[in-house]
Amino acid sequence: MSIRVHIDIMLARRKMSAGDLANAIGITPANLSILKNDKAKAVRFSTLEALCRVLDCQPGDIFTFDNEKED
Amino acid sequence: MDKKFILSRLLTVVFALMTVGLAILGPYLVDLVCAWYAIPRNTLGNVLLVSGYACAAVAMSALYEIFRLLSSIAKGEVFSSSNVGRFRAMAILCAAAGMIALADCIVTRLYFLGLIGLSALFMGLLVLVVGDAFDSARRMKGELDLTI
Repeated sequence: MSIRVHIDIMLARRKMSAGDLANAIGITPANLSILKNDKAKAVRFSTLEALCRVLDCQPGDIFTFDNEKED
Repeated sequence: MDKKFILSRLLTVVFALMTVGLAILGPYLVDLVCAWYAIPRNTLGNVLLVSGYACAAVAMSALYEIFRLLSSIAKGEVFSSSNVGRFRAMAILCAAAGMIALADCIVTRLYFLGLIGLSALFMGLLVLVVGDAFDSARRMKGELDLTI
């Protein structure tokens, strides 16, 4: 997948734990781990909306497109 | 556990026992068929007996796959790659039984065997289609599981 997820960077900047973020956006820590480790195939708009709200950022801050990255 | 799974697996075992019983009674059944249709027992009768045993082996394999499929579904593992494999195996076994019956029909000129063979081939194709549908569902489930 050429989409990179930067949740760990966002969490580090905000000094927030992954468990707290998972609780705040209403997903399981296991699912957040899937998302963080670039294993997710898709992200619901509702999840993205919650991520942006909790992390106070734009979708582009969480996801970037990397043309050279392949799986 | 759901009663329908218990009943389905019980019936699978009953059918397996019936298959064993028919295999044991094979020579007597062939005698009856040979007498009824006036076909020579020592030549075509033996062909019928051997193909009957082959069909019994195929039926036992198919029943084993059905039993494992039912057990897997009962455990909640519906759209898995192993179930897709079981459907494909059952389709191949149905096709094999159909081919044996069709070959019997050609050799012995017992036309009802042709009808049975064609039915088995049709059943094999249907099972293959169901297997492909399970494969599509398995892939869709994989994507859905990774949708956050």
